Amino acid sequence: MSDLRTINIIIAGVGGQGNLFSSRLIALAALNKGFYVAVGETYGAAQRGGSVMSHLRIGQKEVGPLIPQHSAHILLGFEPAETLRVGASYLNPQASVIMNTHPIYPAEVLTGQLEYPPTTEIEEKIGKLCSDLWTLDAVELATKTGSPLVMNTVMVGALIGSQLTPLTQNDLEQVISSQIRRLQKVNLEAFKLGFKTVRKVTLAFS
Amino acid sequence: MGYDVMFGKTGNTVLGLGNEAIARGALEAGVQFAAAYPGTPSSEILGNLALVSKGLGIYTEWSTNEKVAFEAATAAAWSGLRALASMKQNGLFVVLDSLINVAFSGHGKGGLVLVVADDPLAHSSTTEGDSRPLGNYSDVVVLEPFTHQQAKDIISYAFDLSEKYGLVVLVRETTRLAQSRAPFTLGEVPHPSRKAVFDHSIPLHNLPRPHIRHAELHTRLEEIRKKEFEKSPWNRYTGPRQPSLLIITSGTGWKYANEATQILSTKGVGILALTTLSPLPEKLILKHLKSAKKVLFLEEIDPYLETQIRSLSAGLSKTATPKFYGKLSGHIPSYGECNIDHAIDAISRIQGIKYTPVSRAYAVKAKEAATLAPRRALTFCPGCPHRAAYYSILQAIKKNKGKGFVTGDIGCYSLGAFYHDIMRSQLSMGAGAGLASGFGNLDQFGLDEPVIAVMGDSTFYHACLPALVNIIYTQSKVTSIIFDNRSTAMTGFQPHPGIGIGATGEKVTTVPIENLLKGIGFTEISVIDPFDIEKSIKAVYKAITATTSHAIVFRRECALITNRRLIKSGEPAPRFIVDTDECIGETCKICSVQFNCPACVWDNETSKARIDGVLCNGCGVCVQICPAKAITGVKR
Ligand code: SF4
Ligand code: SF4
Repeated sequence: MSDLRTINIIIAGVGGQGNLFSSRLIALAALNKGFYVAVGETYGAAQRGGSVMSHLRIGQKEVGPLIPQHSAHILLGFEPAETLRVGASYLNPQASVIMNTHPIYPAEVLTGQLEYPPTTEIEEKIGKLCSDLWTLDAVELATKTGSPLVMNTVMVGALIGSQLTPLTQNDLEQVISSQIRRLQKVNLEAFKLGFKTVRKVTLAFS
Repeated sequence: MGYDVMFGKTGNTVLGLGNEAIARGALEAGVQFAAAYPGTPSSEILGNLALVSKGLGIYTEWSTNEKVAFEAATAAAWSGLRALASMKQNGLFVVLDSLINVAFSGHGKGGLVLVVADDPLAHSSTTEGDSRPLGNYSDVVVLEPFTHQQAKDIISYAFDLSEKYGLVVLVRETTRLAQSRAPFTLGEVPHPSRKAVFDHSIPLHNLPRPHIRHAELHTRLEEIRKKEFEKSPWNRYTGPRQPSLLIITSGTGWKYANEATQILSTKGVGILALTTLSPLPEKLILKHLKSAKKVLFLEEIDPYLETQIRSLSAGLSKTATPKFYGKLSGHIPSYGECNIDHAIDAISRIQGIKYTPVSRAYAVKAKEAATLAPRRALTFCPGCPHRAAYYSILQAIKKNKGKGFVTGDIGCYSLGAFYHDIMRSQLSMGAGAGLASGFGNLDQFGLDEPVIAVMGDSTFYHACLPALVNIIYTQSKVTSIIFDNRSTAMTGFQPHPGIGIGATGEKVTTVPIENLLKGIGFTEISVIDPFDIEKSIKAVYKAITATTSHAIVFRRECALITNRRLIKSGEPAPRFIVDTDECIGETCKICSVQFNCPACVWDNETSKARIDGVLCNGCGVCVQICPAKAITGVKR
């Protein structure tokens, strides 16, 4: 991807999942590589548990903080229902989706007032809206490192492992090492797990 | 926090928020005094200045409200310093009276800059307000940067202008600049060493004849228009001499205009990005109008440029007047954000270009697919003291045969609007208490329900005090409830006067809420832990059935603060479980549906409640409200 186009990445998830932090890590790695980056964030009233969406744009040109509808190249979904909700507005038949399959139930689902659809059904719908869909249980992988909280870093690893961006494993490992002090080792491990998981699938595809 | 931005070396290119760029810009401008009241999307400006203030000898404060912040900053400017006040658009509404007065009077020899962050689409606001026409109306200078680099650099320019012409300079930004990240390059941070001196030569009043001051002010604004803005390098035009379409824009609109024309590959478009918004560079604008047949306005919130420039065009001959497109013509929605999609839509309609990023069939399929995702309504966190307090208020009203209603205002507790619809009003800061003061005097006209005013701790100091005085003074019959969660939680946990901590984390004097209430004249004041449900219900019931005005302070720190503390100390949070043999099941659902704690999970398979150990914040309220005593604590 050495052309001049801007790569549009959207991270969709729920407040408290750490997607603002992840978008910053990826953006910093891109900035260090000499790219122009713009990060736009939409998180409503910012309370924990609401929908959160980050628009991340990496390229050569100065662009705005918002990705035009149906113009995402990559959708990094931290939560299945949010991936579908955001995907419906921003995906297109050429786009790629990398999705964590571990759901976070909205309060009304938890208290039995609404139903959450089976994840397989969500996957099927998203699959029909994009060119390829990778799925992984990033929470399970994160738990292997000892902290389910680093699910977000597993997802960053998955994004880089997909080779859909111009960023390398080394680019991100450097940023993680410089930006994270507490839980640095755990985050590096989480990154590698996500990276390997998707890398394996990518290799099998090609 | 923006450590890279605030502590970064000269020449570094950093990735920061628009607000961080502004905070750094203030440092580079040699600001010595900064005051603010927190409010999304503006809060990070003072938050970041407070971060570095000690080391650089800068004074920062979280003021009790925006008006006080602006007045405190005015004092510093009057004493010769460079002073900044920052706020969200609602703050400007609060400041307006003082602002217009200071515009008239001048503010001495120092520089006075007001940064206002507007919130189009009201992401974190109750209304969409535009500070540009208000700045114009107040006769202050208005600037709006359109990139992060400009946002940083413009602060120095704003201070220069303010000092040179003796005018207040308002810098406007919107959410998509304030809260988005982009690269910018850092400049040098000086060590300002100005001493504050009270300036006896210039009084800050407009006596005896304010209208003369008004005339002088207009002369100065004219001077700035001619000498500074008509040829200002801050305004930028790109495009051909005779554009097929001229886009006039301010703020984020510049990026949208550029990108939309590229996406549509439309040729011959000219973009005039204006930064100096009041007074407007009229000659420059007229020159561009004459060269264009069609003009589109891309701007956030109000059609400010559109109306100003349309009226400016009244002096043009009919043939020289272009056709105007924008919010007034319906090409851009007159509400919400002016985003990239609206820009693409408007330009494609004006230029007759077909734009279909995906097929119709695809769009329909996508829309249909989205309906599968269940909605994610905002709700109080598990273990939130506000939920417990509202639950008790609901029970007290129930006990009072359903009579009673709640007025409220702005803060996390605004979510009470969704909690069994209990909160019936959410206007401006302090408005819940003001409304209640009125309701409490309507009994003589037949109103037969007690009114309950709820207010947050930070809001209490901000704007509730005058209303509370009014309640006592007019003998209005109101139950005033203060939700004291020990921080300004909604905007990022800034301290307030009740906590004893200042902007840089230093220890300061505490101004206790109950002391103020006592001083105002409340005789019935109770301070209660909202997690004690029985006591809480009793107190609220007693208050709403009494003949005098009661005040209740529900005091309990925000669950997120408790959580952080527990994580830091490594101390385990209390844990709870449901004894499924005891749980009544379907006919009860008090913990999950009525109390509505998201950690009181309803298990559809067993038709019983279950506590989610990860989500639970250990408040213990469910234990108290379960009629079957099915929920108990677990020893670890
Ligand atoms: S489950 Fe019970 S103890 Fe835990 S947060 Fe909810 S109400 Fe409080
Ligand atoms: S309140 Fe008690 S009895 Fe009622 S559903 Fe909850 S656990 Fe069961």
